[in-house]
Formats: sequence, structure tokens, C-alpha cells
Amino acid sequence: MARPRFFAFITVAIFALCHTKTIANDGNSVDQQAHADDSTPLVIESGEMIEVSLPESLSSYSFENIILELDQINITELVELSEGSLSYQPTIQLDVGKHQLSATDIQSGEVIAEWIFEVRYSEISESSLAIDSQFIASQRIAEKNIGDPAPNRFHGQANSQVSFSHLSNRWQLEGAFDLYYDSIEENRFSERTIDNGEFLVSVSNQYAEAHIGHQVVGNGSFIMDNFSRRGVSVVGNMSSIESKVSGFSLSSNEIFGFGGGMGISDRRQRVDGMYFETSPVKEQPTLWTLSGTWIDGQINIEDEYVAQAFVGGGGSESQSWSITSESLLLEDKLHFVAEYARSEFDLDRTDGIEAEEDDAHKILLSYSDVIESDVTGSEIAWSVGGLKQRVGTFFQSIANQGLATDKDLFQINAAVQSESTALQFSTETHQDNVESIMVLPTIETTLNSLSLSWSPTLEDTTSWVGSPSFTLAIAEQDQSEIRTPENTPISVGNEVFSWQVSSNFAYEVNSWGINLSNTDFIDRTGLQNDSNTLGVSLFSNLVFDETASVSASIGIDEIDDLITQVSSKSINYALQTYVSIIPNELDLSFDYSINQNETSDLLINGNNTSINFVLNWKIREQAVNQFGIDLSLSSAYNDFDDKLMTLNSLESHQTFLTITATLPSRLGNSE
Amino acid sequence: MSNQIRLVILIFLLASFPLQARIISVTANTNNNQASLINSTQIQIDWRISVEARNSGLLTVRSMNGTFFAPNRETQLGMSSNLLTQNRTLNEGQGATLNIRESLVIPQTVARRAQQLGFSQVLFLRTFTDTPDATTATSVLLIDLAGASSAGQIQIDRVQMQFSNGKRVTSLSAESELQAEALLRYRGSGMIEYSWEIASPPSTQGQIFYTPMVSRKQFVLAGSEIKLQSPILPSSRNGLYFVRLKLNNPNPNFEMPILRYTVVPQTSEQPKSLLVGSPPQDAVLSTQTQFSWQAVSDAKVYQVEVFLEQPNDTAYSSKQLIRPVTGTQVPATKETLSFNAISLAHLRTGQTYYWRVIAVDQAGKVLAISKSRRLIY
Repeated sequence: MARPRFFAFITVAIFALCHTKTIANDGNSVDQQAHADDSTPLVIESGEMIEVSLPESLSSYSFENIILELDQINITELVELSEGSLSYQPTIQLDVGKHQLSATDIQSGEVIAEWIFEVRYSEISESSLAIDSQFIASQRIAEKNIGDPAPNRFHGQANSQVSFSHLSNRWQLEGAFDLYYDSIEENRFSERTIDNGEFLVSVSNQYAEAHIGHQVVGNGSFIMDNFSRRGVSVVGNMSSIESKVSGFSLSSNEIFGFGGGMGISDRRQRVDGMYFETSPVKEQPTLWTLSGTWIDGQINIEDEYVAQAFVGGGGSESQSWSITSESLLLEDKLHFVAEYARSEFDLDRTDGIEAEEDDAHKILLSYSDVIESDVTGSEIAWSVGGLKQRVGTFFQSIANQGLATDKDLFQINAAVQSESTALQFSTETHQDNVESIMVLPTIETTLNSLSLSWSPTLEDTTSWVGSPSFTLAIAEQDQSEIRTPENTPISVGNEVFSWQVSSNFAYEVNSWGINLSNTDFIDRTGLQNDSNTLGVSLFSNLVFDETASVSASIGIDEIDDLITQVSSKSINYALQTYVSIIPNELDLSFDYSINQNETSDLLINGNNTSINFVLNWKIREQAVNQFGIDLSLSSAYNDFDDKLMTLNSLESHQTFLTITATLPSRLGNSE
Repeated sequence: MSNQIRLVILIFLLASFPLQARIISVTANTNNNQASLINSTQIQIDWRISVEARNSGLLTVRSMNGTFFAPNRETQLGMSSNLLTQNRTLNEGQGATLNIRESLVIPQTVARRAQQLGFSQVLFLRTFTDTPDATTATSVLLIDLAGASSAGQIQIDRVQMQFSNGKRVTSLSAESELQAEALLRYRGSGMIEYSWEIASPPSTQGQIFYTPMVSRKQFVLAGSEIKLQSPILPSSRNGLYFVRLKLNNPNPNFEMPILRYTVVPQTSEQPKSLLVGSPPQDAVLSTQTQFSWQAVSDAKVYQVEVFLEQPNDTAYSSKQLIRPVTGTQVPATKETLSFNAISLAHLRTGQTYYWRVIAVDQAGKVLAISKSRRLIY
């Protein structure tokens, strides 16, 4: 019997059926087994239903008042309840690892029963390979003013997206990578004619994982955040003690293509490290999670996708570590995070200055709850929180180069939400020169912001406003120099006040919206000119029975210099249309955009008009292991009109005849 | 001696006299007079050298190197070995101004040494010499020391480019949703003027035309880091696309990166686009909020999912890094739903979320995915 594809390679083992948050009707906590025998794992064959026995505590509940959630997704409407048990056929593939099924009383919001189960790899073997390839050949058949020398008339491109997996003996191997070819050298992202972009190959079982390629390791911290790099990592999962340990070696620079290998052979451009995460309270893992990261690395800035000022000729070197404690307490209402990190960073190993040591820490505390209004009877959700964060002047980490350093921040925020209205407020103060270095100025910045959102629930959503939502956001900033070093004649001080109103309207399939924004800047010391900035944008998206679509937008930004009385304005008009002339055979797309820029002092005054049109004939529909072929006639028109220096004006266009072949290849077997 | 011979001798004598000129003054202007203590800083200096010629000829003005001094003008902190030179042919009695632009790196070493000596400024001295007269003039640029952050005019220190799926080079299915992101690390606060520009097929098959998608003038508050997001990138036509952020003001002292992506046709196995109705972008989420969508043939269930971060809409995978924080499944007989209080209890008040709808068939295959929209709770 053929098994559903998604469940062909997993078996589901429910072996930890104990629930620890069971609360009886009288409110007293009781521990109760949900299954008669939790010492023997309940193994469910792939594709079969998940079935669990119901504890006696549920017998007193009306099932109409129970919400059943799988991994926090409400599945109540798809669960079948029978006397003494419930069953659910997973509709989407469950990932390998732990999953949680819970039953909650809708009246009280209390969790009545909870089941933790684990999905494991099966012993079923299956291999699959998917290669989606595209080959494009185009010939330029007409042109005007496209540069000297003009590009070759013929242009060939090809790309393939390759993914594979093999599952066997409780092991899983999977990987993905892209291949690119371009006949025009300038279009390539490397010197190679054929090269690959990013790749990732992973091998895993229930205890360990190994990854080779582009990856992100660990959770965000002061020393490592948004750090996606090529390299190698090994992860050990110890589910019995709710812990995970990872060792990694990643390239400190972004690497693409075949040339970089694993990206870790050069010690001068490598970050080595360890990451661990543990939840000591097994019965309730979110009660306390402890995580830590340690890294040691070097970097020479040669990153094609990061632009920055010159850093240092000899390359940088850094060691840093971070430890984080996170807790969800009082039925998850109280959220507490504390992090401490220390770094030792040598910006330039050859400059004779020793590495700088510094630290960073933060404490975040927030509380949220829901109460019932005595007046309206409706529920009001509210939260209040605070953040205290200090990052030292010389704190730096190779794996988090975007971190704002030299800053002491204190922030308080609050939010209230009732039915269709939400109000958010935050106030923060930050001060730089946290080391109180005498020769540096110390600047204090206060920032207050308020946001009010309203989404009225209308009975008739077919009127011209459809389903609307409105937001008003106000922000106010004040910067002042609270200590000025000697011999520095100017102390800094400025004020900013900005507001923004946005409205969005949604219909059955269409939507439109309008945004207005305004910013006033006042400099108390004359260092910068006072200014006023006004922005207006309008957009709409229209779909007509999947045979046609139109998207249109207008954006206007204008800045007035209140000192020089010079104003600068930019306007963007954009229109994108798609029409299916013969469904699945012939379609037309047409884009039109105008970008206008002008200043009142007549230094800039120009328009850029751009038109693209493509008429596409689908000669043969693609299918698995079968070529699809498209033939298209396309044209790109560009007109730059400089109204001040007419010699700069240029009108150009180019027209192409293009044939595109696509081939989705699939190979696979199972036994 | 005939007049003609006298004239020839006079011309010969005039031509044999070398140019006589002198440097009158040198001034320096810079786009940034702050040197960071924690990074080496790159600045642009415009040197203006005023000269005067007594007779005509070729003048060469040269500065072999520059020197960093402490404000006491006695303690040397470092040197820059950039050679600056410019030639100009002058006529007799003509005055002229020579402009030489220098890209100067102020090493962290220099700034740190000055700070350790108790100074809040660094001096950069350059002496210019003219050839052939060897007159000299010196100018001094005053540079303030700064920490990692500062008030005053905004300066961009670093720009990191990537797509919203975290990649730098990527391919995506037609009609998928992708944005470009630029993480700017900056000092000070002020106006940034920028354009997101796109080069799309058919122009990428020949001469590349960059077209502005949006031009913004945005005031950046003190914060040190900002993420600029492009509009949704076009993905309706197959082929190669380039996207770049053009920073018009402040002008960065470095070359900006260019991202590239390739749009490939949707295969029959990939999820199609699912059209959603309400709620609109930035709606307030409550138990009264109604989610609606267009029916998908062969669907068995629909799942409305809420995420803390914007999900990658190009594909569905149970292994996706971003997991929904809450959601609801309903049978395919329904095309609308509202969340109950239990589902909303997984959310934190005051937070922005993203929602989408997926359609799943009998075999567990994801048939269609909607584009995501923001929600406020």
C-alpha cells in the first residue's frame, strides 16, 4: 500500500506521555499519567493517527470547552474524540524531535492535560534527488544607445537548484545547493564561468547533527548574531537532560562559489567556537534556559557583501564569550532575560596596540497579562517591561560586527490591547562614552514613542473601506551633550519630532493603502541645518480572477532646509500589470516607472522613465522530468532626462528574443 | 643686428628662464572630522593650494607624506605615506588654485595614543612644495576623537547587504516574496537619502538598466543601527536580477555591495500563491479579527500561522528555522476563521507579528502559501 509521501520516512514515537501541568477543577495541581504505561514508548507507524488515552481528570470536562493544540497550533476541529481517547491525523509533516499536544479549558485558560512526544527517524530507507534547471538563450534584435562597446548580442544563462536526501537506519542525509552559469563575465559573482552560490549538507540522527556549508549557529547574543557563514558544525542533542551542545568552525568572511572550499582552511579568516543550551527543569523547560557561546577567531575584511571604512591592515583577532539565562515564570506571564558577555578584540594585529578588553550586559524583564474590563466586559491584554543594557566602548566581536557599542541604555515600554485597538508606548534614555573617557564628549539621548492602532470590525466588508486598519505613530528625540571635553568649541544638541499616519484597506483579494509622515529637526547649536521632511505614499494591488493583476504606487518625499530655504523633492510612480491573454499559453507583462528628482536651488532636476514589456508564449508546459519551453519577445526602455545639463540626457532601449527551457528532474526510491 | 634676430634672441631668453612661482596658502576641508577610538576611520580631505606664477611654465605641487601630531605639536602620533601631486601649466602673472582630494585612513593606533596621552584631538599636518621654486606651505587639519557613537552629523560606518531569507545569492520561484535588507551601522543622527534600485530582465540580458524602485528621504534617530528594507522585489519574470542600495546622502567612503537573485519558474510540485483577504496589513489582532482567504482546489485543511519574524514564503518545510508561535487549523470547508483566546495567549502584547495561510491536501502536501502580512497585538 502506498504511503503518503510526507510520512513515508518517519515513525512517531510517543514515549514521554507524562503531563506535569495538570490542574484539577478545584485548582489544586496534580500529577497524573495520561497513558496507562509511559515506560514503554508508544510507536505509531508513519501515516497513522496519533492516539492518546485521556486522563480521568478530563472526564469532568465538556469537550466543547476544550481547545487542543499541537505545538501551539489549534487543531481542535480536526481531532476526533471518543470515550477515553483522542486521535489526530497530522496534516503536515512533523519534524523530528519533541512535540507537544495540550488540552486547555477555554473558560479558565488552564492547561488540563499535556503530552510530550518525540518524532524519530524510521528504519525505512528512502533516497530522493531534485534538480530544477533553467536554460535561457537570448538574442538582442534591436537597440539604441546602449553603451560602447555594446554587450554581446547573444546571452546565455543557466541555473540549477539541487536538493537531495537519503534516509536510512535512523540516519538522515540531506543537502541543497545552487549552480549558476552566465556567458557575460560582468554578471557573474565570481571569476568562474560556472559556480555555486550557497550550499548546506546535513547528516543527523536523534542524538547528533553535522552540518557543512552556510549556516547560522546558536541563538542571537552580544557576541554572535545574524552570523550566517560557510563552515562546519557538530551538534549533540541530549533530550534526556534537555540539553544541546555545538562545536563549530566557520569562515569569518562571507564565501561563495567552489573556490572557498569549506571556508575554514585559513586560520586568519576563521571563527572557532562552542555553543550550549540547557533547560535544567525537565518538566517545564521554559522555566529556565541557560545558554552560552564562546568564540575565538580572526578576520581580514574582504567581504563582498559588507561595505565599510578601512579597518586595519593586519587583520583583526578576537576572543569572546557570552552567557544567557532566560526564564518564563508565573504561567509564562513573566519573561526574564539576563546576558553577560566579555570580549578581547585586537583591531589590527600589526599596529603594536594590545587587544582591548571590555564587557556587555543586559537585563530584560517584562510582564504581560489579560484582564476583563468591568465596563465593557471585553478582555484587555496588557504588558509592561524594562530593558537595561550596557555595551562597553571597546566591546567588539567578529561574529556580531553590527552591534552598537559604547552605549548605556535604559528603556521602559508598555502596551495595552483591547478588541480592535492597540496602544504602545516606550521611553528610553541612552548615553554614550560609557567608560567616561575624559577626552570624549558624553551625549545623552532620550527617545519617546507612542503608537495607536485601530482595526474596526465591520459587519459589511464589501463597502469601499473593506476591512480597514489605521495606525498613528509619534516619536520624539532629544540629544544633548552633558559633558564637553576641553578644547572642543561646539557642544551638540538637537530635537526631532516625527509623526506617521498609515491606513490599509483589504478586500476579498485586493488591497490598497496610504501613508503620511512628517519629521521636524531642530539643531540647537547650528551644527546641522533645521529641516522639515514630508512623505506621502499610496499603493494598490488588484487581482482580476487570476487572469490579470495590476499593482500601482506613488511615493513622494520632500525635505525643506529651513535655514537655506532649499527644498528637495523625489517622486516615484510605478505600475506593474500582468494579463493572461490565453490561459497557460500566452501572457503579457508590462512595467512602467517614473522617478523624478529636483531641488529648488536648481542643482538637480531630472526624470528617469523606465518601461519593460514581455510577451511570453508557453510552447510546452513543463512537468516532472519533462522540458518546458517558453518563447518571449521582450523590450526594456530607459529614458534619463536631465533638465539642467541636457548633455547628460540619454534615451536607450533594447529588444530581445528569448527562448527558455526548464526541466524539473526528480529521482527517488524507497524500500 | 636685425629686428628679427633680436626677436629670436628675446624668445630664446624668455623660454630658457624657468618658471618662477610660489605657494601662497593651503587649506583643508573634510567630510568628517571625527576619528573613532575603536575603529580606524576613513575620511576624505580636499586640499586647496593657492599658487601664483611670475612667468609662464609647468608647475608641480607635491606633498610627500602627512604627519599625525598631538595638539601640543610636539608629540608625533603617526604618519601617512600617501603621495599627493598635481601639475598645472601657468601663464605669467597668473594665480591658480589646485584641488587635491585625499582619502585618509586615521589608524585606531593614532586615536588611541592621543586619548592615552590625555588629548581630545589629533592634528594632521601636510607640507606642500612647489617645483621648481621649492617654496613650501603647511596646513593643519583638526580631528576630534569620538567613541563608538556620537551626536552630530550622521556618518555611515558599515553596510551589510542580504536578502530577507538570510542569503546573499539566492534563487526563488516566480511570484514568491523576497526583500533586500541593508543593515547600516552609523554614528550621530540626521537625514539619509537613498534609493533601492533594481535591474531586471530583460535589461539583464544585455545592457543593465538600474531603475529606482523607491527613493526615500528618511530621518534617522540616534540608535547606531538601522535596517533598511527594500519594497517586495519583483519576481514575476524568470531570469537574473540585481538589486542595490544607492546612498545619496551621506556619501559613504566605500563601494556599496550589489545583491543578485535569479527567478526560476514554479514547478508543479511547488506551492502556489494563495490569495488572502482580511485582515489588512498592520491590523490589530483580537478574537474578533477575521482571517479570510480564497479556496484552493484539492485542499483538505487550511492553517493560519502567526510568526514572530517574517517567514520565508518561497517554500514550506517542516524544518524551517522560523516556527509559528500560534495558529489554527480548520477543514477545507471553511474559508474564514478567528483565533480564540487560548491561541492569542501565546502572543505577547505590544509585539508585531506576521501571519500567512497555507493549504494542505489529503497526503500532507502543502498546495499553496499566501504572502505574509504584519499584525499588531
